[in-house]
Amino acid sequence: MPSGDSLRAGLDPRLKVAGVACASLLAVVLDSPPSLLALGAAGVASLLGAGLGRRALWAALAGGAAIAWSTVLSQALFYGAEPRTPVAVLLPAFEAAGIRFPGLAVWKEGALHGAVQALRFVGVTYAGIALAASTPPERLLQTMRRLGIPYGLAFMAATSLRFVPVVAAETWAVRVARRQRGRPLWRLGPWGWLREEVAMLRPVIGASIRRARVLAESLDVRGFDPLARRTHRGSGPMPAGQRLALGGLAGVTGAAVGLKTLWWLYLAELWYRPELRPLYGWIRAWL
Amino acid sequence: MSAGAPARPTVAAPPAIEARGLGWRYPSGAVIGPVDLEVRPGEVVLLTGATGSGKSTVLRALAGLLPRDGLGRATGAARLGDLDPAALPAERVRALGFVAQEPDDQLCTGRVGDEVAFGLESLALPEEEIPVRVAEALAAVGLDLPWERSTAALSGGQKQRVALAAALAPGAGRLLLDEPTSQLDPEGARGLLRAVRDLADRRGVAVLLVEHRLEEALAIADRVVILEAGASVADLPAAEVLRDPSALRSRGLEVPELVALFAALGHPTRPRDAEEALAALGRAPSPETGKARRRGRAADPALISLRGAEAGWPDGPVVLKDVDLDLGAGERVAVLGPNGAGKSTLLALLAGNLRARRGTRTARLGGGPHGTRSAIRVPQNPDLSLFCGSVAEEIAYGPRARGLSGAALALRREENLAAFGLGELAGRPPQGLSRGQRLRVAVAAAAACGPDVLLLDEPTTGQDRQHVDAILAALAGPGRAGALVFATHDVRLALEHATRALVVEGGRIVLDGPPEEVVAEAARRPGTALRVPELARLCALLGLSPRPAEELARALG
Repeated sequence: MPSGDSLRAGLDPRLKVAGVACASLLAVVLDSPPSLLALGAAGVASLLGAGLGRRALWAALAGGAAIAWSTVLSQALFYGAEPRTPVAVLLPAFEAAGIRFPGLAVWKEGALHGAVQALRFVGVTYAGIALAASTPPERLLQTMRRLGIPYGLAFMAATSLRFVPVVAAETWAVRVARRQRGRPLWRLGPWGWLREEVAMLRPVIGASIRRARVLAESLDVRGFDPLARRTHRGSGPMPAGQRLALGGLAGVTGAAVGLKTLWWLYLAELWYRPELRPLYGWIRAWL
Repeated sequence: MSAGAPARPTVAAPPAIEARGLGWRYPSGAVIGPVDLEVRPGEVVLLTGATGSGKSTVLRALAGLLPRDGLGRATGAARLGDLDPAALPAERVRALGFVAQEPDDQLCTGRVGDEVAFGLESLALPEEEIPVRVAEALAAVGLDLPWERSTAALSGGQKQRVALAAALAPGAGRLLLDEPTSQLDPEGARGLLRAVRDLADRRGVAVLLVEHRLEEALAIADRVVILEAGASVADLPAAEVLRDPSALRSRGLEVPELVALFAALGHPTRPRDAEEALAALGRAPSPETGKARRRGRAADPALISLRGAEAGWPDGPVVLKDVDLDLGAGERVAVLGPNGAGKSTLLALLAGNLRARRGTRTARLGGGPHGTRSAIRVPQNPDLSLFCGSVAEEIAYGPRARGLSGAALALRREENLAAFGLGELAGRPPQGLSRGQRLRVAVAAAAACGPDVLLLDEPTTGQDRQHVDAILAALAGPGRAGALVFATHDVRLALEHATRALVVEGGRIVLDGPPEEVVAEAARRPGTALRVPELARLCALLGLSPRPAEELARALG
């Protein structure tokens, strides 16, 4: 649940949604490692300011780190583009039965490419988690409605978010129950572990289905119809400071998208102006 | 209801809720019905019957919810005044409100105001009209809460009242309530039922109430419809049922204790509470003789000891404060207290599922092979501890992890299947069983591990009393030497099954001792949050230890 005194809990949801949208656009258009590092840092900062509990925060950070590490590792090992520079050769290339095997190496450019991809992922994912964790679902629902998202879709998204903490608590309860009665997971071996993890889903899914049924009945008797006309209460005006921040955010993102468009037109040899060469250089270095 | 209770208005209006030969045939072949009943404006009709008698199915058929499953076939007729219950949602929301037993799952939004406004928004009412009607609906159920208040911060009783207000706000003149008090403590249940009675009296709402807690429900009902094997077999005035409870007793239903006492005494009065009962008996209250200790209890040797312990759930506030407790082998401890008192936290701390934030928890448990623990807590929602594909696997899971195999494992499994009456269900998937059966499987699976301490977190929640009695009886069988701790709202359960009772209030243990002494003390203490049954209170007022109605009737001779 959002913490009332967290940094982002005080922000207007419209600004937060715009922030996530801008982060998503920037993750697509940016290629420069320093800029993506800044985007990743912004994502981590928003996560830290979202008011998550200690366990949830650690879980998010550890999950992000695990995904980043696996992306870097897989790209470092299996990077295929040229040029590429081996940092370490784990298995030299060899030939067997007339077939040439390329061997296995850690590629510098692959690691860098993996890091770039990981920063894109971390920046956007953490911004999204921070938005979901710091915004009461009903305010998010209002915002999505104002953005023109169909009511049924917006309601489903907001309701799903509302039950995330419930499902997390149930998952914890299931694991505690298993731990009390079962062997420690590390004693089960990889297949046993996997089997147990899959079995753990059974009660969580069962509880979710039962809850969904109760909620569906409750909605049904209260006249819920995603296609029917309904009253939508408006949200108040956005504070001036946040409007300014929204403008700044939109400006920076728009500028980045515009500049990258110039760069792509240049690369595709569709449009080029010699007097813009310093700008092209700056774009190449920073975007 | 007292003989002198104010008479409710005789209503001559046409039925607001009506079932004529109503039934439902499931694809499995099971049949509910025929059911005949009617509820007029201003009436509260109690629909009761044993577990599996079809009460919830009837309610869902009347709410127009069953056909939406797409499974099964309706027979007979259900009417809500002029309206067919299967009408479009927008028409139905004006006609009826439906409140289910799960306080959390049925709330659609996260704030009180949004929740009550939901149906009004579905009707596309003008924006400026909505806050006015929300405030009216909240006032009608006796709630004074701001729009912004998070529903997660409400007690179970408050959540159910919010659900009632949400049902009423669109102007529904009919309420269908499916065991709305099953997950509430006695105080919350009484408050909710009082609000329901008030709605019928002041707003003329027609209420059809499914309820197991007959003591509280009969006090507000005008009539009682009894279901047996899916069919309605009796439709009686509540006053008549109170005068002659044989209609309930003959069908295995719970008879309110004071009613049973006065019926056994052959006394015409039907008192509502202990004070009225005392007056009817012409007795004076006995002087106080409090015996229960208020803190701590030495048990030697202690399996688990808490000293100055503070605890709370992860990322949550401190719930338990300054708890000293020794839990001895062979003890059967009932942990009593209202919702939110800290009972679940105490059980989780005793089980080692939570760490003490301050103070100490010392466990002297046997411990199993592979580092398995020998204090096992069955959570409040037992479904969360059922993760195997069949009941037999579920029971064998723990013993197998503790190193049992072959014939020894099979023996342990069969013993526990038999002890908990699960033999016929051995091959069924646990998640597909009924609520009562799932609880039995969860407890049997924990008990099969042979823990030093078994902790049951509110096994009574949403369960029939007979189910819980059977489980606790099985846990008292041969070979169950460990300690048993169970959290409950049900004081009678503590009196019948515990050797020791603790009362937890505001995160502290305020009473600790033999159940009879603790209950007697709680009955005498002014301002205690623990709701003591009226019969136990009457016993305390008479200076007697708590006892069943028949025994008290004999004692009063």
